[in-house]
This record gives sequence, structure tokens and C-alpha cells, in this order.
Amino acid sequence: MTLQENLQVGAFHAKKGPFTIERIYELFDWMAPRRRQRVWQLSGGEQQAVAIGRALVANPKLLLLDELSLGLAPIIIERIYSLIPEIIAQGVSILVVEQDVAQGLAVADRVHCLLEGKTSLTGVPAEFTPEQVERAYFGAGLVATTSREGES
Amino acid sequence: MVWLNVLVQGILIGGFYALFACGLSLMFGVLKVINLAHGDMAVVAGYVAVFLTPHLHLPEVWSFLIVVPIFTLVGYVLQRTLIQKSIDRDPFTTLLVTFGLSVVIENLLLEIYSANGQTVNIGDLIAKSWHPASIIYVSYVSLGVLGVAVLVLFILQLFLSKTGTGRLIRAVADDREAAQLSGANYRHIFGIAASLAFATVALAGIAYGMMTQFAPTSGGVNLLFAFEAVVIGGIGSLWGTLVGGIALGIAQQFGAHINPQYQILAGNILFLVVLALRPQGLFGRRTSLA
Repeated sequence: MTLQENLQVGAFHAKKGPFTIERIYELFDWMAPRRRQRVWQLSGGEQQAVAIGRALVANPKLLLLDELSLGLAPIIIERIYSLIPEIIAQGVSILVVEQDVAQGLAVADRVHCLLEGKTSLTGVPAEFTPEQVERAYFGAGLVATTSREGES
Repeated sequence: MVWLNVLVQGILIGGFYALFACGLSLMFGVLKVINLAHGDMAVVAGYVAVFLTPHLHLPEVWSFLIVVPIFTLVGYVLQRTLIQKSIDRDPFTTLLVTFGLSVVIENLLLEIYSANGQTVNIGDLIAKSWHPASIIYVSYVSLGVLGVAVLVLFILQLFLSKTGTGRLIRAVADDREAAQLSGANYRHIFGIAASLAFATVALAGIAYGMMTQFAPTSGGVNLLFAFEAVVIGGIGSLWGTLVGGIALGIAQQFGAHINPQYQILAGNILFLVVLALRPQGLFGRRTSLA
């Protein structure tokens, strides 16, 4: 199926809201000229973007993004993350599952850190110290031996 | 001129094969179900046309006006009940269930209508033909069936590519889970695809009954030809199915011209050659129904 058809499928059961196919084309400016291209010919990051676009045209209240950065080039990840504030501004809540702590903390209003299935840290990212995050992320026992610089 | 006639007759019968096969192609492309009862469904459509339409004071030529809507409904209901239940178990179950359905249908028809051959009565139209050159006779019925096949494929293609529901059918065929994430109820979409397939098989059954005699056991051999047409053309490509059907028809006619015994053999050889050299079929693509 083509890029445009993917978005049309997403829009088929759409609720009324700010996102239309045109709006998605504004959000991802590379899409419009390539709308007739088949999606399986696109790169992994582009496919990821199409999947996000397809979810957005349905005008969801909540957008679930699982492992957004998995397998994608850093520049693509950055580009996708840069859109998140814009999407939130339209009134959509986003739940991101992310391994990249810095990336996650940068966009999140609230953070839950899960360690072995339990919440080890929860709250507003600005209130956390780097040590807190590190301990929550790796577990208390590891903190003594790990020193991570330039993160969070 | 003799060979030209062989070619023409091959194309004409190929149109019928394509009409017969496109429902099979649709069922496999979207539902991933190989409907072994496909041929028997066509035969049932023939029986319904023969035995129901006279009660409605309708000429049998127009029987499709009744039979196609009935089959559209039956297709949806059968999918949502029996076929969906077997899909939910595993692909092998769908083979067993449709095979069982095929046996049940054949024997029910034998029990009710006996093994006598039936035809859909179209009056003297059956004998009329266009005679463009010395030994070439183009039967109006066969030409009509070819025309219907092309029209049906055209409408199906248009429906799948231009309408929202058609797009959902292709989305479900491509990636069921992703389509579900986009809010598609795949069971309902499967039902729609099945009802389309059943509508085409009803047309094919009636067409068969107009062109020749059918009996309760006629389904099997036609199912085989439909399979070959789908595989030769490439699974999931509707126009490929037309080309596959015509290629099969031409091969059979050429075989029959050399020796009437070779008719089916020639078709099977073409089928095997295509399978060996181009397993994805002439028009097969990476993804289905793209």
C-alpha cells in the first residue's frame, strides 16, 4: 500500500479532531511529495513516521509509542522526538516507552522508571537528580560500580 | 487460421476460468484461506439458478439478479461463523473445514437433485455465435462470460483501490495487526471479502451452467483449474488471475487441438512450468493485493 493509503486507512475510523491527512503532511514535510510511494520501500525511520502519522489521523486521546528509538538512526530519532511537543500541543497525551534515558527525560512531563517490573522512580523529571535516575534505572546495587557521565 | 481459432477459443474459456478463480484469489489473498469448497459453491449457485428462478417467474438468464445477492449474504454469514471459527484455530483447520464442506455439499446435492446433469436454460442464445472468419466461431455465451469476467475484475480492482472499505481489505490482507491498530474490525472485513468472493463464485457457477452441463461433482475439476489460474497469474493479483486463466485456457485448447486427450495435460504442464520457473506467478508481487 502507498503512504497515502496508509494514512487513509488510519483516517477511516477517525474521530473529529485537529489531525487530518493534510495536517500530517505539514508535520512530516517529506511525506507529501512521496505519498504515492509504497511503504515497504521506505526506510525504517520513515516507516515509523508513517505509523505515527497513521495513528495520529485517527485523532486519538492517547498515543502509545513503544520503543520509539529501537533500530533507528540517531538523526531520525531526534527528528521524530522533535515533533512530540507539537503533537502534545494539539491535546494528545503520549505514553512513550524508551530505553534512552536522556531522550525520555527531555520530552516527558512525568516519568515512571520501571526496574524488574516495579516502579522504582516516579515524578516530574526536573525534580530528579542524575544520581536518583541512575539508581532507579540500574538498581541500587550497581550504582557503586557504575559511573555514567553526560547522561540525563 | 486453425491455430487462430484455437487461440480464440482458449481466450474465451480463459475468461471463464478467471471469473471462477477471482473469488479463490480473494479468499486466499485476504483471509489466507484456501477454500476447497469453492468449486462446490459455484455448483450450488448453478442449482439455485436452475431450481429457484422458475418459481419467481424470471427467465433463467437473469437468475444472477437473485443468486448473487443470496451468495453475498451467505458468504458473509459463513465467514463470520464457520470459516472464522476455523481461522481462529489454525490454517490447517480451514483446509479440513472447507474440504468437509465440499463433501457435504456434493452429497447433499446428489441426495436432493440426483447425479443428472443440469443446465441454466438460456433458450436459443446457447447456439448463437459470431462468425468473423471462415472457421472461427465466437459463441455469444462465452464472449459474454469473458466480458463479465473482465467487468467483475475491473469493479473489484476499483473497489479495492478507491473505496475506504476496499483499502481496509487490502490493509488487513497486508498486515492484520497493523490494520487492527488502526481500528479495523478484521472479522467484519474478512466477512466483506468473503461476500465479494461468494458473489463472484455465484456468477461463475451460473456462467458454467449456461456454457455446459453441471452435476453435483462438477466442482472439483473446476476448482483445480481455478487454482492453476491463480497460481499461474500470481497470488493476490486480480489482473494476473485473468492472464493466468487465459494462459491456462489457451494451453488447454492447444493441447486439445493436438489430441483431445491432451487438453487437461497441457494446462497442467503450463502450471508446472510456471511453478518451476516463476513460483510467484506471472504477476506475483512481494505483497498481496498491493
